[in-house]
Amino acid sequence: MNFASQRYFVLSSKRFFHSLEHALVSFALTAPLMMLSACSSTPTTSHSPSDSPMSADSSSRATSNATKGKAAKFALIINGSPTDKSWNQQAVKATQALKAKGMDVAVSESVSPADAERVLRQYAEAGYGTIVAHSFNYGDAVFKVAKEFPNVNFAWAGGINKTAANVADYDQPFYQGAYLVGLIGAKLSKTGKLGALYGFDIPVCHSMGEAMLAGAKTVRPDATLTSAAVGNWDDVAKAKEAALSQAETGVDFWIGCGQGPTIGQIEAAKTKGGYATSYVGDMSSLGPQVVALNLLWKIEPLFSKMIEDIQAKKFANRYYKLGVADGVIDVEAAPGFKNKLTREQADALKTTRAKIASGELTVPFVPK
Amino acid sequence: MREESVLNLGSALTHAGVLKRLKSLAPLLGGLLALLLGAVLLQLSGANPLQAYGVMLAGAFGGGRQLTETLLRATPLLIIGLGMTIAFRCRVWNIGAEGQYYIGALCGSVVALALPDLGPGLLIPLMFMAGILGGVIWSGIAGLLHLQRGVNLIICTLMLNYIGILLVQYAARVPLQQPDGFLPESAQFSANAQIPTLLGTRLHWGVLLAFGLVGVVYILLWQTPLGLQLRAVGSRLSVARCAGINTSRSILIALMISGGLAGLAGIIEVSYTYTRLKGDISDNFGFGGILVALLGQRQPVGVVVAALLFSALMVGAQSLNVVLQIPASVAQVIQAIVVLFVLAGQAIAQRESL
Repeated sequence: MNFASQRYFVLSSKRFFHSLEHALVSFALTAPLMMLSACSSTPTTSHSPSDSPMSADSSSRATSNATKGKAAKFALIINGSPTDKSWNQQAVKATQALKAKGMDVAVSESVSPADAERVLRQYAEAGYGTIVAHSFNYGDAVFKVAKEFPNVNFAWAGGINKTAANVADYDQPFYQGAYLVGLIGAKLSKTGKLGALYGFDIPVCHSMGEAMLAGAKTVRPDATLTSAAVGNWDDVAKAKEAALSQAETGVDFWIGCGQGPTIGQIEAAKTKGGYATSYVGDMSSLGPQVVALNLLWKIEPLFSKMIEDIQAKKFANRYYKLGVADGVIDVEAAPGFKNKLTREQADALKTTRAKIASGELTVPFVPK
Repeated sequence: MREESVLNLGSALTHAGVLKRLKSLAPLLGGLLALLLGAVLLQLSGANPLQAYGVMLAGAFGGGRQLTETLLRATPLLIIGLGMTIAFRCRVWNIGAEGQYYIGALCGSVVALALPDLGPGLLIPLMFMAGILGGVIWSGIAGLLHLQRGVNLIICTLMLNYIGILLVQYAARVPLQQPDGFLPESAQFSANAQIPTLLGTRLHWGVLLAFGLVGVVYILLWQTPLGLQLRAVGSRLSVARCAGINTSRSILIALMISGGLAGLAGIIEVSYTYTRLKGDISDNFGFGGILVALLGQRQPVGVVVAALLFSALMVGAQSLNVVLQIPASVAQVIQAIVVLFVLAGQAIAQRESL
């Protein structure tokens, strides 16, 4: 602001006071404001340009039964960037796999919940037979639009078993993977104090920390858990502070729920020492030295299952809970740690994963 | 204070000099230049610029449905922009619209959640009033800090944004959270608390209200003694004071009106679009509203044009991406360039000499 006002003053020594003020406002206010609004306000999309009747007028509404006839078109709507190494990127990766199988796929990125209804409607009108809204924030919009398009299939990442005749819900049972993380974490931790940071203390997150502790206790009975909720999914600075204060109490192994909390932990581990776990995707490039494990959500089987069910007309009111047994949730050593895990640890990971998959072992789900 | 007409098109015809006429067209030329630059960007990203602009135009204005979406998106921007028009006319730099929007939404939501069974005819006006009250209080705090303690108003209003937003996030997570839910959001509003739509369209009463406010703001600013006082204070504080105007009172009133309108926009959006209180209930409408007021040259009709332009850019950019596989950032850059160039054009148009 200083710069702008000085600069303007030089330019306008003879101008009237009011025009000075006007310019002050124009220059000083709009530059940062515009960046603010431009950064996050545009819902954006990218997809195959093939055949998308964008101006699908209201006349064509409801007449197209997209699930019949040629291969159903599949649309994905995400809340953030498709390259976030986590939640959104994994979903986009899954759609790319569908595309490779010959499906017509579209992705809209950075869709604000304020725009969700419009984007959902646009896809429904353009003849997309399956529309996945990949955030619980889209719930209300999905149910509203789904009522208007009974022939279009919707799915949302609610994880609370809220469904409708043409709306499926899909769970994110990360806790199953967190149990496996606990097996390794207990060994990697020097103190036996494990840390968990959640965006919010919701069941998906809370159960992760508890499951990690349960897994850790099987190999190290004195393991303890320190958990905290940041109150935010993407405030890395705040999460780092929380992780650092956990480190003060001796925590040296972390699991995160949410991108912000997880990146904060990785940063904390870099400064204070210790190890962190990737959330949903491979985030190890953010801290190759400290990210020991990747807790992965492989979404492609989930989407494929949905399409299968739609074709078999079994989609109505489905609540998908695909986890370790379905190959959807998995834990692997981060690329830099592939050789650092002992054979024993790698075997433990493998056998326990098999036990969970076969149903021999049920990971405790502690939502609260 | 000199009265600028919208984009200075009207005055262009009366000016004698060709130069002056050209100058007054600067905002329009700026817009065209921005579109040309955008065309280069579109070409670089592999799209046919003409086709792309056609898609954008069709996406924003191509039919009844598209127009509806553009109007819906413009509504919060218009309401906030009108409030900012009053504030900026009084030279009150309120950049706390975002926070006032959130607090307005919070207060309105409390009413909506407390009285779910009240008839919509009574409940919705009550919610609106609560929303306005919330915005008035939030902007009033900044006003008191400024007038009583001499705190810089820009800093005050800006900082109160964060407090307001965090307060709403807390409210959505703890006291107002859905009883049996676990997500950080309130229960969904009852049907009575959701603004009814107009004649089977997606347009709602809030849209009508927003356009009605255009006339109200115009009359307030130019046909009432209060408006004269506000504009006098904005035009020259010392002169206004000498003329016997209570300048502190004027500043507070301008601030509170702008805050109240931001609060109204908040409860309208929450009631119609979000249908429940959450931590994230704005797409930077508060900041967009400020831009809209400046783009509209602090003229109510200009603000309508600016709000529609801003909204059309957003809706059109989205269509651009849905249809043509244009990278997200390109559409955002085009939006930003248009706004920047039009503003720059306005600045040139208002210079005394070229």
